[in-house]
Amino acid sequence: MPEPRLRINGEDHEADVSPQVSLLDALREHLWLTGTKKGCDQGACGACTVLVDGRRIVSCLALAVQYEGREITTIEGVDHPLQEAFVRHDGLQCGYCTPGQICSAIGMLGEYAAGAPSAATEGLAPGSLTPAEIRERMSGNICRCGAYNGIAEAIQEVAS
Amino acid sequence: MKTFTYLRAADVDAALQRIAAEPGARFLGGGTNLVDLMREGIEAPATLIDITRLPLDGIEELPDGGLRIGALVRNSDLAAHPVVRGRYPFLSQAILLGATGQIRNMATVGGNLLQRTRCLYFYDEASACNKREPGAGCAARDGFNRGNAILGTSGARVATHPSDMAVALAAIDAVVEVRSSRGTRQIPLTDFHRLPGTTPHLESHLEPDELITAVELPPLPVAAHSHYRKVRDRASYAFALVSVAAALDVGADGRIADVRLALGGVATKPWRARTAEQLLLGTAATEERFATAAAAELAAGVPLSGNAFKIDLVCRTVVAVLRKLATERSGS
Amino acid sequence: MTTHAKTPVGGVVGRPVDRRDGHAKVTGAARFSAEHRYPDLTYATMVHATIARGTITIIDTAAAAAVPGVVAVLTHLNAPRIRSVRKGNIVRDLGPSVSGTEVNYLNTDQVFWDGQPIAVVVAETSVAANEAAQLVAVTYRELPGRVDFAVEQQHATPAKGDLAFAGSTKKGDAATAGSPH
Repeated sequence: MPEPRLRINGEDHEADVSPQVSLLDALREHLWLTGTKKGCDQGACGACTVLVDGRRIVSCLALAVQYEGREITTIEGVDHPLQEAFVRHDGLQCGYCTPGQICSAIGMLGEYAAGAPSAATEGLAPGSLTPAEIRERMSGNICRCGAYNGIAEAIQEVAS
Repeated sequence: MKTFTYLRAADVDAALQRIAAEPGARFLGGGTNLVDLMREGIEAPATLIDITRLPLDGIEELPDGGLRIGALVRNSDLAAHPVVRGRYPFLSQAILLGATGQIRNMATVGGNLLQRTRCLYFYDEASACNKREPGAGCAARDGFNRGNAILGTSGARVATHPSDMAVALAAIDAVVEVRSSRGTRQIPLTDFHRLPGTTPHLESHLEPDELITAVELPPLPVAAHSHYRKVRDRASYAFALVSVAAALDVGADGRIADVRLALGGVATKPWRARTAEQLLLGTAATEERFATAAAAELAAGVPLSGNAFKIDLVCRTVVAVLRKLATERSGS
Repeated sequence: MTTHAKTPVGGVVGRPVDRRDGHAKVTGAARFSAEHRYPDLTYATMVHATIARGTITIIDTAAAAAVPGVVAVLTHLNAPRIRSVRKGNIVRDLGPSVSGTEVNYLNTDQVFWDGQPIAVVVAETSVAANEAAQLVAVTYRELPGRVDFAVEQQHATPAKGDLAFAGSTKKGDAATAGSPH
């Protein structure tokens, strides 16, 4: 099986990885793009969230070989008003969940813009992105430092 | 996880030929369950056949008003589809109440049906588990079984089926289409998953060489007036302690004209509550009748040391959801 | 919105101040412990005991060592001696206020808790280390363990005093304590 070619932040990389290597491990250990973090390695914390063709996924459950040829965006390739908003609203302390929070929020804003409902959406017809909506849509990203209020404020500001 | 061979199927026929030819091969969809199980050492297929690039990700309306959903449709796309939201809202709600945004973007419809239990003892390789090792025993029966099942259990297995989507599909009478190199067949969703009986390690009627290609929803007018409620320890991202999928139509005379009811979090497979439905059809839409029907459905429940609370909890949730639907109907 | 003090003191207190590390953290540039690149960097995965009390009778690392990329598999059979924490050491004598251990794992075949590290796999990638860790085959002679807190509570004795905290406690009466101001 030829080495998979991963397209990350607009650049092609030959990733010398065996099939069992996750996209997360390929990024961090093989390509030394350590912005994406390993928290739980089982899809439960969201720290490893990246964007694939603009959609957010947890890269720890993704096998690198499966994502050959897809447009993968990691925090290193992100340039978004959310980043400055996170700093201004103090949406971080240790910073370990932060790249995953930002990538997840970018994906989430795209889902909302496309009209996707969430479990918090009354009647399944999205209105505005309320605080309750933001928290439900971001429930896949946990923050042990408890910076949730700042995170939600940062997202709220950028969303409006 | 153990090393394995990775293949990508060029088309459906190639995938079917490959799975038939390779013993120990498994299909790989979104990987949200299978990759986790492999990393835990619970599953160790020698070969993974990646099916995610096959053209099975369409959603099309059928001439009779039903819906045909490709097996590779991602959970998030299914939940957001306008026809699902309009005609089968409890299916959309069920999906949105499961997992997280990231996981819903990766998970496929077919994979969701085939996901395996999250019973603590299934995941703990040092514990006795008949699913992992037939005949080893079931540590959950006398262990920490707060999250385990009360319906459809046997001495050999008390693990719940964790899917929310499948509960709504059970209420809808969805049909699962599967293909192999031997042909195509349809399996009603309510017959798709197995009761444990004496074979707790066998979870569905899917043959090892079969691929789920689609799920079809029949037209179901009552489903337009439906609701899915999930009761759990956290507000989001947790499996159900109990869940209820219900659809209700009340006639002008106050009698129940049509009803669908299915339960999650309480059974070894998505549980269609037929006993309750039969008691409800044609009777007055009162809380008393709702409670009687729920109790009758749960009469066969076998509580474990840690989950007896589920009986009362699921009955009260059934009543609450039916009451909500009945009230909304009379209000409109 | 967070409210801030109305009268900032000294130009910093009472003002929102951006974290100095904020920019690095929101761009993924901040490097955490495992993210510094060293030549010949290896990864380690621990293997944990699955019994509460007993002895390791067999620990077979052949399959683990054969996984490509594995550099070493350490067990009590081949691990270097680690100096044990001696009595009189202030850390050890702090007792209940410091959760230390007297178990020199990797230097003993004794298992004292479910989850005790009993082997370490070192490999060139984390994936190889994880794969090999799952292949370490352990046989135990299990001993009875007293692990049910509800049962053992009745045999509990008060802890002795230590350097940091006195050994006695008093219980007050919240209803009668204090006087209204």
